[in-house]
Amino acid sequence: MNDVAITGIGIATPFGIGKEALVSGLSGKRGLEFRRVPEFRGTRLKKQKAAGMPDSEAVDGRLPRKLLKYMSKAAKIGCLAGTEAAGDAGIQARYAPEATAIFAASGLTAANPDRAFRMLNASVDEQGEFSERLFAEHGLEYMNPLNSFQILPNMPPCILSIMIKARGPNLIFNPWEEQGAAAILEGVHSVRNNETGCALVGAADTPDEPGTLVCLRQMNFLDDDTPASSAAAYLVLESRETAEKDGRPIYGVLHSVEIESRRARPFDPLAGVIGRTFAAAPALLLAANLLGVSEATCLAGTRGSEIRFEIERTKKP
Amino acid sequence: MKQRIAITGIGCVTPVGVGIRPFFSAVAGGVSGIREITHFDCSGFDVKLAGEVREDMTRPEKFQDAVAGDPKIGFALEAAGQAMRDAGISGLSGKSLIHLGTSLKYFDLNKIVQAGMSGFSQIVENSMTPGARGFQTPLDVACELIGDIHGPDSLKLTNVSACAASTQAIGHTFQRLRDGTFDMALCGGFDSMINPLGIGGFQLLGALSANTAENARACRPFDASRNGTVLGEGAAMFVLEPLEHARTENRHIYAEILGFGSSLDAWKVSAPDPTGAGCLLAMKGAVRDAGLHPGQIDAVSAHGTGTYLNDETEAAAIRDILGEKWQTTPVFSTKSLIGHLIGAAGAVELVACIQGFMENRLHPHGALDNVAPGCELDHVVVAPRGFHGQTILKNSFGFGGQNATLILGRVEQ
Repeated sequence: MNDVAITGIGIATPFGIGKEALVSGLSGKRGLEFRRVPEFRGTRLKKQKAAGMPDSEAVDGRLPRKLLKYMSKAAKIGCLAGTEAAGDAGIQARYAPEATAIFAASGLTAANPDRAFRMLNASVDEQGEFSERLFAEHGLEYMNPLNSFQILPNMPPCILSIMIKARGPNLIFNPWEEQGAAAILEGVHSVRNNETGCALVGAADTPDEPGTLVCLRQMNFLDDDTPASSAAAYLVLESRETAEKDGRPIYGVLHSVEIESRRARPFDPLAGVIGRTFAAAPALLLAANLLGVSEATCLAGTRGSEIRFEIERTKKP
Repeated sequence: MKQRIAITGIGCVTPVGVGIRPFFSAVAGGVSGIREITHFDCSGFDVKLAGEVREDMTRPEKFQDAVAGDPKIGFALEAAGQAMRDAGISGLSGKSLIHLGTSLKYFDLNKIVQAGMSGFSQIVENSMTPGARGFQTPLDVACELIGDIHGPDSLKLTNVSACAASTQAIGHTFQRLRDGTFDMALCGGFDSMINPLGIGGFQLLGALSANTAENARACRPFDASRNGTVLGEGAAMFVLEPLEHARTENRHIYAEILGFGSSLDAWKVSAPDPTGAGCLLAMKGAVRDAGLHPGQIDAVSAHGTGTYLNDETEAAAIRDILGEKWQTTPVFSTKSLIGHLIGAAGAVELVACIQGFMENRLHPHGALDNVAPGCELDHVVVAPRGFHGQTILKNSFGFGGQNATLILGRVEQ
């Protein structure tokens, strides 16, 4: 069985695009300002804070223009992190597309409130009730067909596959830390069992979207004292033997990923600095550890599972 | 460690019946579950047909809220319960996995309107009022509830790989049982997009048949007159365990899973790779994983959606993998009878494959009158065809370019 090496890391967080921004942020060189959510002004969620990407134009500028219309915010940051990780490990030059797997997780789907209101306003009858007939005849005019691509939870990794020409095995899970960790676990299994050459594993989540925040608050998965942040983190896993043979720098060896149902209280060691990132949290934690800006190796997910990584760091960040 | 993996329990909720016996009987008889939509007023929509689940299912009081929040959760609970009872298992023990496929969260537009239309702040206020019901339900709720009932200590995974989700969930479960990561599992899929937003969204994409006159025969995979798919809803769940363990426990073995392959088109966001290379990659991967060669595939359960783009591409890929044997290898599509169950499609269609082994016959396409140019295969038409083969290949291809293929094998009792 193969030792599983991590040879690529890609990150997009409110600290900025790229793993260097995460290192700066988590080592205290770069601050992160959580802001109150404008849409919550005057409501009982007025104290809720969140952080998104600092520069959305910079995000869009790094992505292929022809794909932008299909991309949600999660797809954008996921693709930035995924392409950075793939480039970091040089997988496109070393592995055939069909030997490149993607195992990923996505978070809760974010609905655009403004667009939804226009659609629904056109669908309400004289009694103030939602009318399916009016929705079909008028509401649908406000629904962009491209919305489907932006709300389907499998789209962020699928678009990433197009960008890096990955055609290998794939799985996409949803929506919490447990599933983000499962994506990493599956990468370990697949590389270890020679089911794939390399695996891009990780997640993108945008819990700072107002529609998603309401859902998270309603389910008591967030409170006034806990901010939420957009984040994406991807890692490249491959056999240690191949990485060494190819002369690739190795960040570390991932010996195990354990996900145990324990009804634990959710705990994310990075949340105090970066906010809750839900599905993206496990890959982000693993990346932070490998980059030398966190010693943490475990967290507890929203559904109460304990997630533990056994890592052997091998490269000085 | 590679061990043989058996299917020892099945549950299903479909537009043509709840439970495997009613389902078997309906599809063998070519009974279609596709009819005019009754779940909501569809009079304003171009699309008026779907494969709806019509049966009421009783469920414990404690699940009523969850099912009210998202009706497809009810299908999942019912199918999971059936599968566990069928296997004669009270709960998943040892290292266990629950892995379910589905597609998209249900947004209850009615509830959003009730929560307030004067602005987002009103939605926030009303949503945060104690006792207020959510208008969106996370996709993992079904898996969590099933876990609470059947496997509290199981690893619970919700797969969202669109139309390939449940086939991926079953395939992944098979692989991880085979390598010894888990001892026992419940897997499958559940879905329903038969709601205003689902039908409306697919209608805008031009993916659905608006041919109301065809009624029960509107979903016409591989037919020259096909003009889009028809949505269906339901669920199917399977208990999977090592074959030797199943034999030790004296359980009924429906079939074994021999291989799984998955691939990505990496082509375009909005359309499948027209060369069929992605589909072919998944099929080849599954055949290789099963330790077979393509000549050992005895039948094919096609993804067969009835859309222009899918059917021709899939037919070409099937001919490609089967080689000369394509002219004598029977191909059938269950969607023609029940519609496209999206995230649950592969799981429910796998039940139809198992029928092939149990009843030694393959059900016919529901509405294949004139094979479209480019869709030539050895289609099962008009009546069920006798089948004594050892293997069936099952395809599922997802929006976004995700492809998944399972190989199912006959097990002599």
